[in-house]
Amino acid sequence: MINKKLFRISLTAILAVFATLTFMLENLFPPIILPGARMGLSNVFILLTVILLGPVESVCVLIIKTLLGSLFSGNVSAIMYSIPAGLVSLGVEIILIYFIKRISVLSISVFGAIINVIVQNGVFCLVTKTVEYLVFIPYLCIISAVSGLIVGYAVYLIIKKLPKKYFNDN
Amino acid sequence: MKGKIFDKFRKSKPFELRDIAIYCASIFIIVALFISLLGFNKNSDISGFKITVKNELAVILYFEKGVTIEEPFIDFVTVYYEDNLYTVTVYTEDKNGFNQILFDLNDKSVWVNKSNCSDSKDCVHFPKLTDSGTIYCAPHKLKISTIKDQYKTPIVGEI
Repeated sequence: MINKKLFRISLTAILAVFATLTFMLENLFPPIILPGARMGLSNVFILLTVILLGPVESVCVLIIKTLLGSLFSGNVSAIMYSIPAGLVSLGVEIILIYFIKRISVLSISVFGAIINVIVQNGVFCLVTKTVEYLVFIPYLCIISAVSGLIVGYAVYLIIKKLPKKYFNDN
Repeated sequence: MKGKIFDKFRKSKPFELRDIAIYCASIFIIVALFISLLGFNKNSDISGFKITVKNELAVILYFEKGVTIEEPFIDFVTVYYEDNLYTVTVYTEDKNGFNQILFDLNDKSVWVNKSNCSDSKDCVHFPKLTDSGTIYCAPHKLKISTIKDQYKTPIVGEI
């Protein structure tokens, strides 16, 4: 007999730890082609949290990942534009997951990644007053679409392998 | 509810019919961005680059006049010159952080060579600045951008 509440809290914590670690590890590698371009592999765990646990838990995981990840990788200022971007893209993903039927996790991940790039760079340009950086956005969108596909496929494979009995409503 | 969501995605395939709409929307957004930002930020007549720290002008790198350091930053900037290449190092207020910027007079370009800003060091991976663009180091709030030619000889009839 599993204590449901305890299980949810524990799983949220585990997913938050994995998301933070992936985020920090990714930061150690140089960006892909353009400055600031990352695979965003930590989004695997955020998307998993939305599907397995729900929107509230996923927001918790997102905030923990961004706060701790930025703090430990020495880029505190990234919090300013990562949190709004993360929340907006997560909001879009939640809407697609909960309200659109017959849709794959890959397309949700791709769309979320594109929205994330647009919002993150928009906020970055506003905060840092570097309007010139806007020219990178379309190119970053292409990179994020590809990485979104990889993230989405990873989530798809994980969901297929997870045991069903732990994630039933009753 | 979450169990139903889990089931929905467990049964789903990598491609579903409604994905077409999502992918079309994604392509539309990217194309719209490309079109709207086409030709944005192209400066052909620049006279050099400027380095600002926390939105305050710190260093100017002129193609013809060389490097000038602004008064408040004299203690925080070092300049080294050799073979048409300036090595400008800008230190943070506590002098623990730095960005080493190279300014090449041969191809009129500037880039960040070294920095201890963060693990990812995005500023170091920015492409060389030549006629347009910006290099930004978020942790050190350091920005390198182009400056327009203020001393351009006016063309007859130009207003």
